[in-house]
Amino acid sequence: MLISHDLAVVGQLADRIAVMQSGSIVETGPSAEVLGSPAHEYTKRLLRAVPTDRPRGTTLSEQPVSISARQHRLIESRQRDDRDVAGRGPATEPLLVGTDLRKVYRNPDRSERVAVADVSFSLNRGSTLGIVGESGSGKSTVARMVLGLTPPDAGAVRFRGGDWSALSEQQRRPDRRRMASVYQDPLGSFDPQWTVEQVLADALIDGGALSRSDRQDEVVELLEAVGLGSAHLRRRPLSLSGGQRQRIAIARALASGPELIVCDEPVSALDVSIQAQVLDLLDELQREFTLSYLFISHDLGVIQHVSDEILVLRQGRVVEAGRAQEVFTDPTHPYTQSLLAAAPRLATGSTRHTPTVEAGARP
Amino acid sequence: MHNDIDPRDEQDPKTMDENPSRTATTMRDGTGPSQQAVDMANLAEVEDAKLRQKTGKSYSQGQMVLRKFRNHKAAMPSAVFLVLIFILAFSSIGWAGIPGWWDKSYLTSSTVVDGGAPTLSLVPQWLGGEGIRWGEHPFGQDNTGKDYFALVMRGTQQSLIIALVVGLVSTVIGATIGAIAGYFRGWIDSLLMRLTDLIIVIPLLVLAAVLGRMTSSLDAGIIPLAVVLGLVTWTSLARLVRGEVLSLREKEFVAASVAMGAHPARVIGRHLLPNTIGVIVVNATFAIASAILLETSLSFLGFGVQAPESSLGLLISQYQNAFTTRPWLFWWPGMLILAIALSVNFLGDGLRDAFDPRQGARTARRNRRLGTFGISGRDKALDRAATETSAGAGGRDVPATAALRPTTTSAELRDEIHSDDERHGGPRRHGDHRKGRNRPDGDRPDEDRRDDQEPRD
Repeated sequence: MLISHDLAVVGQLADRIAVMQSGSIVETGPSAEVLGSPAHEYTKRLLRAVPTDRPRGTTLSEQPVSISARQHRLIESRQRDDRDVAGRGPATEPLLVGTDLRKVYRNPDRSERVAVADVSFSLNRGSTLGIVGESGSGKSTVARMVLGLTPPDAGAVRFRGGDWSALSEQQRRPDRRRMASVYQDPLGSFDPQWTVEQVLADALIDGGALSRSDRQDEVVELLEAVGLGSAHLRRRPLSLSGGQRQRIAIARALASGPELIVCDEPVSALDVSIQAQVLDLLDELQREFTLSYLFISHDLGVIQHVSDEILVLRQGRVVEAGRAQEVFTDPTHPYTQSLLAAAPRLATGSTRHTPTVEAGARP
Repeated sequence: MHNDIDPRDEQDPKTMDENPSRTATTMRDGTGPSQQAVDMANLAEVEDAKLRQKTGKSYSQGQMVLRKFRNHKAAMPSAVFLVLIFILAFSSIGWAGIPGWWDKSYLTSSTVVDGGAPTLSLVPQWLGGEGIRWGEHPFGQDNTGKDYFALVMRGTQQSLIIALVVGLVSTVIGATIGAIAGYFRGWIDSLLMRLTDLIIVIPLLVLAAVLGRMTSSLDAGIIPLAVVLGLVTWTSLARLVRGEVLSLREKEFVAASVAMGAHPARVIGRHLLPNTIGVIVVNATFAIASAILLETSLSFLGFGVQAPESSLGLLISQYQNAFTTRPWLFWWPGMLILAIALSVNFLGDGLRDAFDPRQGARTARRNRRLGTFGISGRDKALDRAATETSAGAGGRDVPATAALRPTTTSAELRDEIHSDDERHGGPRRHGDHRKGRNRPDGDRPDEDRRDDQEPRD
């Protein structure tokens, strides 16, 4: 007996599948039948929420969450200010450039472990760079270097056309809020003693300048933007569900009105339906605010769905880089090929659960 | 890690129905698709509902600590006792020029009445005693006829002032140095920790004696001595806080804060120190207990408070020879020192238990009954510990703790007090805030939540 929210894994391992919703089994039968021609509405929706093989921009969830008008204005004005002040058009240089990044960790026994070696990438405004690789391949180290939390041993990160990793922490601090991050473990990324309100108020663009009630209004709007409400203000992260925590993490990332969001495995702890909502939210925000994402995941399906460009990392080195579709349809490096082959997929193929076919075929 | 799904809840269809769906308000239309939307979001709703049922509301750390502390059998009476001693000491003979209700001064001599024997009697006449009375000199008189009650009260005042000032000074210094060392690491850490080591390797009593002698020439009362004692007793706290901060700073929320552009002072002040508050508060109480004993030792040895000022240690040292002839001159200050030091230690125990997030009210209560007084119920508790999968947290686990503390006279005395607990299988969890995290049997993610369900009492 295998219990999972990962449909692909279930599809590959199980002979028979039982789909449960709200405590009761809504559909049961042989794997191929359930996944191939689902009879129950809920099963169909679950299948639709799987991001694998779904083109960019396709909505996965039934009711995508949206962002409030006020937040919209805030971020827009911020971006306008930036352009005026900086005098740099967005097109002069890619938003984020990493060149020959290298990070070596020293083991306790003095031997060296190369975490990241010669990784280069560039990310344009409004697009998404997906980084995929197995555990320990240096994905998160790249993210930490981009966020300026770990200095690279060699190479440099440039952000908004200027130095980033080469700056001192003091120089970097004013611009830090132009970058935000969503972490894999949302619980760990919140101070356990802080309430949701404190977390979000702390992250607001100019939170200090606002009055207490204004600040709270803004926090509530942020919460509503990610599908939560003022009821959650006084809660602490510990008492929230995994999906709620991740949504708060995204709300926090949005609060500072960033240009770049570094997402380090933001959906790997979520089940498909919530994952679908989160991915849709990120997608919508990207289109609305020309946000850029550095999206890190080990889930090929998710990466394929969100990315414009893809970087495949293995043991700290880039083994393959290119447009998302090319990498997925025509992988050149053997490692990428084996990675794609090893990924559990829904055995039914991609055509069967596109929204049109499914919605139309089975009323 | 805390949102483990309880399968029983999952299969309970009522969970769903009882909680109105949030998504219902955001439905676009009332037909098929909206129903889908509701069901879709229900997946998340079930999870939310479960959490709501379990927690009811989420308490702040402060609220939970207060609740657990109030239920602590030894800590609450100790706290009350300390407050009473405090009021008695300061109201009786007054302080800083303000007169108290006791009419005799600890400085004026008078004729010795009845060999200076105490006039206090607590045995009623119908029991063959002298009746309950306070008398002229309840604690007796010393050689020169000074009222011993006034002297002892003055000594208690001194001890309490020392305790508070030392607690404050050493906590502030220790927490700051520890947090800075742990946060910045590198050469700052090395420098600060070598400084700490330097102070640790000098015998505390010798260091305090020399510094105490120097301050006694200042003629400014007890405060300079207290500050000096604070300046040499912050080391253990600095190490504990550093260790705590070293592990905390690797947490993602610290990285998140740094990535949002928080200044190091802000990260330390708003994230790191508040999250080590348990360690700090608990250690502060133990520092207070050891400071009281350190002052007593110093005064006893003649390096602390000088006559004609009074101090509990000074009184004991002055009248140790009178032990056989006039034992009250020894017993009153001796008992008070013991009582104060014990109370503060119990207070620290209570706070430690209260701040221990893995300790639910149930286990805490059991261990307390066992440990505090070190008496019966051990086998019963161990049996229960064996049947409850998780209950090992207190009863079996007896980490060696002596190494954590600086070896001072006070620490030894304190350990002796506690070793009683250990012998009787009571909880010995000093420093658990750091250690317990990795303890396999102590890792109870649901502990807090279960605690919330406990009826208030």
